Amino acid sequence: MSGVLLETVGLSRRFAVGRRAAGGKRASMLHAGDDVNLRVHAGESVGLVGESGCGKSTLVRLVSRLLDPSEGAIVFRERDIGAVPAAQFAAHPERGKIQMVFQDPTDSLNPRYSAADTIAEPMRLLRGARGDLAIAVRALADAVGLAPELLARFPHQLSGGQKARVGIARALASEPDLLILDEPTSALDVSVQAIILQLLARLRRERGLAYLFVSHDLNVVRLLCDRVVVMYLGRVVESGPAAEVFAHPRHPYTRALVSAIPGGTANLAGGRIRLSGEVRSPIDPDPAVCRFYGRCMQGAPRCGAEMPLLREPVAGHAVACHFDR
Amino acid sequence: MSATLRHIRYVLSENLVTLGAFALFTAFVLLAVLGPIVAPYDPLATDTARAMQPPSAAHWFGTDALGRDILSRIIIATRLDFGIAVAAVALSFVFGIALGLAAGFFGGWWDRIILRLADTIMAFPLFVLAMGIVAALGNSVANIVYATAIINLPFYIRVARAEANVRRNAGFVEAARLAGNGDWRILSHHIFPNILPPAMVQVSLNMGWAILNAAGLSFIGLGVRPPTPEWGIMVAEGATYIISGEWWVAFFPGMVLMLAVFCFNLLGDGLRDIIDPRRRT
Amino acid sequence: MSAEIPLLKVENFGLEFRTRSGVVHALEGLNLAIRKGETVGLVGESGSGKSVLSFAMLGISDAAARVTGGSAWFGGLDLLKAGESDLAEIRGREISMIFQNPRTALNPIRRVGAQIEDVLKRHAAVRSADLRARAVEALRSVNIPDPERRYAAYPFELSGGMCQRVMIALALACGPALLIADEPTTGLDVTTQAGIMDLIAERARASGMATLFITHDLALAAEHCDRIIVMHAGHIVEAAPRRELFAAPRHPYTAQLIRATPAAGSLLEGLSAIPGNLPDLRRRDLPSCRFRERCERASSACDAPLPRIDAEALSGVACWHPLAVVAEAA
Repeated sequence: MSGVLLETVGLSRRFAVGRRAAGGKRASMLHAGDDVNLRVHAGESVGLVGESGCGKSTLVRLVSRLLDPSEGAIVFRERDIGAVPAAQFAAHPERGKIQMVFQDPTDSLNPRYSAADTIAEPMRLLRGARGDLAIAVRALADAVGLAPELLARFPHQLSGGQKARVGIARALASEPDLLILDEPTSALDVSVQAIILQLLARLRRERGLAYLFVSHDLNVVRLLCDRVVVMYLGRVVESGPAAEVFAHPRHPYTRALVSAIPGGTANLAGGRIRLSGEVRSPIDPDPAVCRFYGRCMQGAPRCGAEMPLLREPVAGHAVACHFDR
Repeated sequence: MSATLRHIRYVLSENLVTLGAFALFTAFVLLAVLGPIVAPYDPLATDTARAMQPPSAAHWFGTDALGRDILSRIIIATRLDFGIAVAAVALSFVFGIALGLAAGFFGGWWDRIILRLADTIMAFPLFVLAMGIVAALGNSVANIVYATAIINLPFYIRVARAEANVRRNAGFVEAARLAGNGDWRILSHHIFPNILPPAMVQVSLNMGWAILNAAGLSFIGLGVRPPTPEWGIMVAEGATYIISGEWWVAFFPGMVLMLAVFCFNLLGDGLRDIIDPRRRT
Repeated sequence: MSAEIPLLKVENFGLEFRTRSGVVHALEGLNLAIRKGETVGLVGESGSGKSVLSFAMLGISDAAARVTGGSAWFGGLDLLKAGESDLAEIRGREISMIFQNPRTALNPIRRVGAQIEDVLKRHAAVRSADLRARAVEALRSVNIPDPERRYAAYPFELSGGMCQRVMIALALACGPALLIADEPTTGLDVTTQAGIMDLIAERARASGMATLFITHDLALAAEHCDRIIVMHAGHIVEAAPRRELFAAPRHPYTAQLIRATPAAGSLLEGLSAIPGNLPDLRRRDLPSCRFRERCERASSACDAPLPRIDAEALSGVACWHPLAVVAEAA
């Protein structure tokens, strides 16, 4: 594995919620990402899993530079790109090198752009291509398995799988090094999902891409990722090699997550783990309390008094829990 | 594109009222363009010998107090009335959409200031506002256009703002950003084409209103001055004769005015059907 | 077991939609039965007609829908021919439904407690003095923490998982005999999903309620259903007890669906997509087997009318070239 492509250092993002109190008191803050340290090597596929509201989407939007961080750095190819405001990042030389495939293939395509227009736009804007791009667009469409006669069509004339392919082709058009995949198959039927996953695996092999793959479907993450990062309420609670994390989850939340995979009970000793209790509020969370405390089956008073930090008991497999031996 | 044409044909064949409105609209446009050629008489030529004649084979719509042929005057006036309406609507479209897009997309102060501007205009009785503007700026056709444009502005601001606001967070806008589009390019290349359909409906509904407004101003003596043929003035001139039984002087220009407004309103409804994606097959 | 009269028995049910672009032959010749206390999974991709079927059972179909034939017997009443007043009596009391998007299915401007009380008042003849206690009890029964406080909450104040629990409480408030759960956990997190599925199963077990569980997720159905019915393009293509279905799928579509679904042990290379698309259901020349154009086993024998699956049979397949019962015996 070659060098580090992307690294986030202490990355945090908070959103102000509600109204500022009259007395000039600070507004309440929703912590969508808290001190996230993430590393993606060139050519590596990293899975990001967690519940909705755990900050996956925020993290992805920070890294893809659609959103500005509150704190921390985003180092991409040894340059801090986190300091460039998102509104100006469109003109940044690294723009084309970080691209994203969106969750909803319908919503993420401009209804008034034909497939060819959609794919050609990043070529023009990010690679300065001029003139007739028909050949380049066709080649890319071919690479993602989109029949050339579909290129003239508009989104409402394409099926879900075809739209997904257009979205992937658009993301590849600027020849990125890092592709962020935000639940790329969750809106697709199973019959199409398999082929899109295989396409993604093939494209990574052929083009040496690095993936940051966000999904709630752990069966899919397992298929596509070398490494997994598990988030819970804005914090990374576990990260490690995918096979290792799925076979021997160390954090209690990861254990619950893995045991909840449909059809996955068999591979985990101890059977089903059911979470009870309520999710803690992400608004102004107590910095001294473990975010999982209250839902955790192992919770102890110490968890309410000291936030567990991410440690690496085994090389390459990190976990943030007091109870991890 | 042929699919779009097929869809338009389908909607028209389903909806005869819209078809009728399209036909009427075409007729008006032809009259505006060909007016001087098709008008049977000189609209300004007075002939006191033939004054106040009721509709007849020679003068289908009769003649007025100065013996001018009413039909010819109505035909010639089409260009002026449509011209005023088109110019006014074009102005309010351009400025209203631009302001509304900025308000909806950037939000914050942009939004607050632009929305207040729209609210301020809306707070006046619009026709009275138009009267005030023309009275203040001076009695000219250009000023009628400006006044009509200003009072129509809020409608476009609101349409564009609402649509831009919804689409600001749409996936395709985020995707456009990733594809290297800056704010202005996103607005002009991605959001604007998507708000065009609802804006066009607004244009059509607005045209009728703009015509009525221009005629109204002329009716009360602001704007276009006699003897220029204009529907509003003609109604005003004829109004005095209704009591004495010479109904045709006011009736025919009034009817045409009504037809024009009616036509644009129906057209707006028809356009809405055509662009509604739920009716796309 | 087979002598018992099923709770719901649908026979030869067909339904079409009249649209501007032609008649959509949405459902055709459906036979199925649900027994008391049984959990039946109805599995299919989008467009297979699974939700259309469930809406039709409750008489809440779209205005464009027209039943073309068949019967749906539920406790001596044919749901397809029953009048609105009979159906209204049955909905909520005998047959309940939970929907995919709980937030939109709940009234956004009423407190959740009041919404549960509405159902109780309507169907359960509860004295008004007891209403509140019963509503709180209903919330507690679906494991909502702190039900007294949640009684007064508005839907927007609750998470998606909580809203779905409230929906379940609503659906189960009158102890229905049949629960139709239409993708109840789609859009929820895996951990929440597991909790919701457990809750439904537990309540069903406790009250002997039958469940028709509609999902696109084969893996989820595999985990929670006794029996699975597979739909494709408005046809039932296969029905079988869960184990049988996964061990030896008989319809080519079922087999492909299983192969396309990522499971615990599967490899990426092992996944295979299903070629082709659903046929356009507006076509007038729909083949008698609607999977025919996607099927690698199709032959001229497939032109004949499909073999029907008997409504009360535990398993069956609607195919002229089914896969062998004992594995693949080339």
